[in-house]
Amino acid sequence: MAKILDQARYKCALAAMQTVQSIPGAIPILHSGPGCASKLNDNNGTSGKFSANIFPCTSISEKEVVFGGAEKLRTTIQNALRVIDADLFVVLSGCTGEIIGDDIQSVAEDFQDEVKPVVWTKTPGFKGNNYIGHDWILHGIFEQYVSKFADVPKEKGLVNLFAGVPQQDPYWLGNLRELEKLLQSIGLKTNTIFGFGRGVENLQKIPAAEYTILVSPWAGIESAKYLEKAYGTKLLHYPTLPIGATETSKFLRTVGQFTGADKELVESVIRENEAHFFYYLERYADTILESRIVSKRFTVVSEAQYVISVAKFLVNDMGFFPEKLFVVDDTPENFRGEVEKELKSLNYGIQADVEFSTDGHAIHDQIRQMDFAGTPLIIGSNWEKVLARDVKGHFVNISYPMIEKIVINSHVAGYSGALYLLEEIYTAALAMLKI
Amino acid sequence: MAKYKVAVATNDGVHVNVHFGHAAAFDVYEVDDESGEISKVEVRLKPEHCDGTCGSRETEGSSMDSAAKSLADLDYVLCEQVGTHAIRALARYNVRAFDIELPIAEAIAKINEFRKKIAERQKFLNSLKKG
Repeated sequence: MAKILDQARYKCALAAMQTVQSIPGAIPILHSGPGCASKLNDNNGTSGKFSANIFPCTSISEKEVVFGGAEKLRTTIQNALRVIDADLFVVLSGCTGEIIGDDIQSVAEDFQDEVKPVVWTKTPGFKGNNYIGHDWILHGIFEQYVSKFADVPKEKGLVNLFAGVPQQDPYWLGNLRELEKLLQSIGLKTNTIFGFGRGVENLQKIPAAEYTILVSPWAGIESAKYLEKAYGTKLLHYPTLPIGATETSKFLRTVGQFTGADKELVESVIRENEAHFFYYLERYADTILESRIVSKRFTVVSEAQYVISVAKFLVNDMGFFPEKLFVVDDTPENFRGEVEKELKSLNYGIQADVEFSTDGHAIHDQIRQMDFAGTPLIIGSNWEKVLARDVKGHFVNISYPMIEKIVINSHVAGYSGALYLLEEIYTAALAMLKI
Repeated sequence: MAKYKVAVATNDGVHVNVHFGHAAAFDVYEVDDESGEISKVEVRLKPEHCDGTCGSRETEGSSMDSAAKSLADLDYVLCEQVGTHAIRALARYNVRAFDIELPIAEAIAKINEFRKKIAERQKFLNSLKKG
């Protein structure tokens, strides 16, 4: 029976245009209806070179559906090349264009000889969400643009780094910068394509890297594997975004071993960071150990990335206990086992129950029935804010849709990110106690 | 399958090449859904609708409305250019207007192809409902 889609937690594949908008110098050209373009464009900032609200779109209407939209796409690309000073144009097709069968590949390929590169990716929403669209778009850019630089010589110790899906993960940029710093601290050189000071130039450096590190349970895996196949860039797929001492140290050791980094250096970096981390925990021990402020049981309703990483941090580092956890990013079937495995191997032999669901109503019904043995701690998105109010719980917003909070470059990854997450949790709790 | 009618703004009987507003008359073609065969069945005169006032000219009783009304029994109108007011006025009578520069036969063939796709899809959806 048909179901009503309640509580959207991701968008359609075309929304992964945010991935393009996060590469400075790159701009998407949408082959879609005007509504797709305006609806999906709810991000808080793009590449820095263009306004978030200004990007070309063919604005497909009934006429294009009946008579074909290829010509409209051709003129839109032509005019975009004339008036927009971008370094990379990425043509993306939405559902309408794909249903009527416009051949965006042949139209985009007609612009091969232009000075500015024009690449294309099919991103119809009926084929997947923006987590998957992100992967398709990167794959398209790697295959059609990055491949032109396949002959650059390898640079020793250079690592391509990819993590959360830009703008879908509210902490994507801060996390990426923090992971970058961590890798640099053990002597690696990092190459990222998103955010300030990166961009198209760094795309050109991708084949020069010795390694690719993907920190993500599943999103972005196909494009990362492509780099391994096409340029022989060895891939480390690390499913857990490291948050806190246990996971971040484990991450550094794994990366160190994978890249052959100096063991002594890795251990000394870990020692220093852990000492720093625990110094802060100790200072706030009286608050953190006081179970009347925050009870010890929690649930997470989020994308696979945060369900794994927050659960690991709260259990392994903080001694919390997980109630059933909910993964709401429509994780593909073949990755669900991996996600479960991560959550069944928590410290102290603790195994967390996990449910893959996109039915917010059913998830909330289950959480209402849970016994948190105290004030519930619910980590999720704005949808859970309403739920937390109902059950008088503590609520921390960590994922899309994030409406009441703005994240500029904060991060939850690494040692320092864990402290930020604790600030969030205990602020939520204290705000309910004090006036 | 049935027949449907397409009005074409043309001055040579071969190309869609006249603006909606400039057309005093339309060639009306009857199209067989199944075979795609077309035959010109009449020349439909359209009342002068430009009365020099802009704004909500497509409202009922307006001159734009009477122009649209004169085509109300047809299914499609093809013109070289057609404004949004005219599109809305025609839509009120369930007539679809398109601005398209193509030979008449080619344009109608595309419409027919589109209708076939829609019919197939409808058939598929109906089969789902029954199942």
